[in-house]
Amino acid sequence: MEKEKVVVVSSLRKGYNMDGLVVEALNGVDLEVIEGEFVAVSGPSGAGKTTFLNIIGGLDKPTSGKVLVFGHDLAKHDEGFLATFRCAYVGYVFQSYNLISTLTTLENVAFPMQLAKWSDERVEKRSKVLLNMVGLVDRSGHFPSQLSGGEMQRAAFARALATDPPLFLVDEPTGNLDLDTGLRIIRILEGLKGRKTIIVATHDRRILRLADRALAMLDGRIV
Amino acid sequence: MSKLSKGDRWGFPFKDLARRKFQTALTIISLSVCISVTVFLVSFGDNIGVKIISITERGQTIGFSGVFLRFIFMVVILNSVAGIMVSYFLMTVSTSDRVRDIGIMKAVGCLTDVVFGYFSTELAVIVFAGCLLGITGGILLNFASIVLMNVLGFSFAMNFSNPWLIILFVFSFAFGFYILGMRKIVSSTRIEPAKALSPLFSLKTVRPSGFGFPLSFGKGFIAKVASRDLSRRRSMTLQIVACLSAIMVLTTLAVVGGVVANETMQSYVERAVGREVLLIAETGMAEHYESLLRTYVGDSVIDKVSYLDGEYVIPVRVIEEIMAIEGVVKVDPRLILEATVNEYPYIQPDPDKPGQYIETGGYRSTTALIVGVQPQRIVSDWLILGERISAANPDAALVGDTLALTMFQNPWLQTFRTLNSQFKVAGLCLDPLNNGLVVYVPFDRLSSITQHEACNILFVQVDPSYPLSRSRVLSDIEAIISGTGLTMRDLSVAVDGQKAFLNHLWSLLLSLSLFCFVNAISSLAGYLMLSMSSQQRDLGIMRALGAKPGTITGLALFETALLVLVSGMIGLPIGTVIVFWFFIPEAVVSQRAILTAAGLLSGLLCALCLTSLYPARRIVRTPITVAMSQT
Repeated sequence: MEKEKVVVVSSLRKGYNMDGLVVEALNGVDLEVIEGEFVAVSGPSGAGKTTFLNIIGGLDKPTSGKVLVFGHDLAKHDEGFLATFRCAYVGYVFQSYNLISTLTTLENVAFPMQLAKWSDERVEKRSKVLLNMVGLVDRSGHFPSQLSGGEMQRAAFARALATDPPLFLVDEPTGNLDLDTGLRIIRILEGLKGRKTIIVATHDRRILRLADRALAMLDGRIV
Repeated sequence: MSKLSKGDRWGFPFKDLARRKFQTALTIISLSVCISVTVFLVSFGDNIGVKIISITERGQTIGFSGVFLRFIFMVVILNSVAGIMVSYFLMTVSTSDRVRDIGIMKAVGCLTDVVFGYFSTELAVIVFAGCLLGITGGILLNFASIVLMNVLGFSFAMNFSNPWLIILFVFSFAFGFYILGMRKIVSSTRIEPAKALSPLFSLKTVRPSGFGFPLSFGKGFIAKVASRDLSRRRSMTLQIVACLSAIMVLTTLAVVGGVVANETMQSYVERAVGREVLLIAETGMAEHYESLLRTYVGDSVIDKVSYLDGEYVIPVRVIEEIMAIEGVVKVDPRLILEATVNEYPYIQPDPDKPGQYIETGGYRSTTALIVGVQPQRIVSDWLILGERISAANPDAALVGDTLALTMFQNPWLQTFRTLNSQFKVAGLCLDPLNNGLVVYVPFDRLSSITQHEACNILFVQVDPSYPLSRSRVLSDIEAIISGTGLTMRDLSVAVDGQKAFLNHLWSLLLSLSLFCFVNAISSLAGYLMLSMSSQQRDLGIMRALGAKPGTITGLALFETALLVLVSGMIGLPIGTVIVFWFFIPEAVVSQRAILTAAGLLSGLLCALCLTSLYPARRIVRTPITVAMSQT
């Protein structure tokens, strides 16, 4: 049986106007990702990897081109729809973790589930399971500012998995981490492989080896 | 790194302020709005005060005008206090926002005194710009209000009656801001770089063991996140609650105080003249009495009358026949005349100097209206300080407030002489008659002094519970007095005129509350803008995780509503206590007054909550990726 195309991107362009100077972050990207595929995108800093993930994740809109994710043309929808889309379909692990500073680790993990209006018991149970999975149970009451980089990254993974989204976008998951912590993150990704559609922007060879498909980006293009 | 040229030292603060356009503009605007409103209130309040005093010189008793002046004074003082609190708070918010920058500069090797120099220059620029704009705005606002008041029929002069007060006030304000801001900068530059760089410090968040509402799982998600956010920013939250509470006290004083004082003063007038009271007297005397009542609203031209002339005598038969009419509650015969009142000092032995005496008061004299009343038949229900007069104490007198306050040093100790007789002050009453220059004494005493047994004016109180019988009572009285030369006047017309006059003055004063409210809005808006811009990253993350624009708006609205609610719970009762305990004696609180004040306050609180919509909308419109990149 042929697997569903989860992400279909064609002629994708994104330009930023910086004080009158237009910088092309994406310059005609074409890509298809099927259900359950693990795609790793590498490339030098400024190649457009984060912008690409942001557009697929519905955080940003392209200047031109088509971006279909689970059949939804993200360029055509308003913010209200995109918010629902992100909550239901996308688990995003940001490069700088992006945990909410005023919420504890447990509350950060619970946040997407509460947005999705899950029942209280279910939210509590799932939050604890996820924190246990990433080894942060003893840090559940701590604020992001009281966590180390590795702990924040693991908390971000737990949060991204909270609503069990089918698409998992991960931006430089091991870039800021030490070897051991990086390995721990890779093990989480390994556990998710095949169960979710994963797109990772990374320089880490271990992740590139783990991926079903490794792509390289340069100057806003997949080469 | 820290060795910078002079140009850099001066250039950096301006470049930094220009780079942070939004924050800089917001702080300057909030500061200038606060100063504008306070400068306006000082100048306009002064203008209104002068206006009220000028009205008082022609009309109004001193006791009544005292309420107006006390109100203006309290509003202006409280607004100044609230203004200083709001401005300091805004300064704190904007400086707290810079702690991280200070940490970074120190971390890269910038010397503390250089960092201090940068930020103190920035503060000076902000304070100078805020004060300059604030003074200009306040002056323009004052002129605009004067023009508006003139268009509305009040006559105001286009000048600042007390410019030095405003200059002194603005200078103190600017100096105060600068000192308070410098204190904050000094404390911020002393923080170790590592601590300053910690979001735990710069965001003023507290550790889990500290105060805070637990975000347990359950319903009311927005409420929990909002309350958690507020409790984690404890320092900022407490400061804005303190500011808003002060403003709530002020607004309550202005709104509740204004509405209740208006009703109460109208009630004082109505009680003094009497409710449902008819005046019966010879036509000339009736007109004269009405003129004496009109002095309260500034009518000062009164013809002289020979009060004891026989033509003014009301026959006993008329009084008896009117008393016999069904529906007549009280018949109050009075003997009025004009005489000179001479103050007598109270003399007592000096306890420190044997053989010597201390005099309280002097030997002033003035012309006043002397009214003989039968204490048990009085239709007036004055607001009295002290005791009422009684037939059993013929030497006791009730003195009008203007007479008491202009002629006596201590009316409770002193005595006065009139018509060659000595009287002691039993009580002071608020009375619009002859503008408070009035003395009430027992009828029999006045009658024996003047050898004039008949009354020259008669008041008849009709039972208000039988409105249908009123016309019958009136026609019966008309029948009794026909052919006697007497006339009947309904005093409710005069009371209505006096009430309208008071209403006119209070509506003028209530405009002050509007500007107190502008201060509240500006401080809350300033806080929300600064607070939300510092939360922009967190809100961006929430949006990235799937929070809809409505959720973000709801969060902002709920946070604001919570702040307004808590501040209201503190400020409204305090304001109400001030109004009823210190401001208005024997306050009249009708259902209408409660509804008016509640309606006005609810509207103001709702408007305050809606203030959050603008910053929320601004946040929602910022692209998520931009919002998340904010540090």
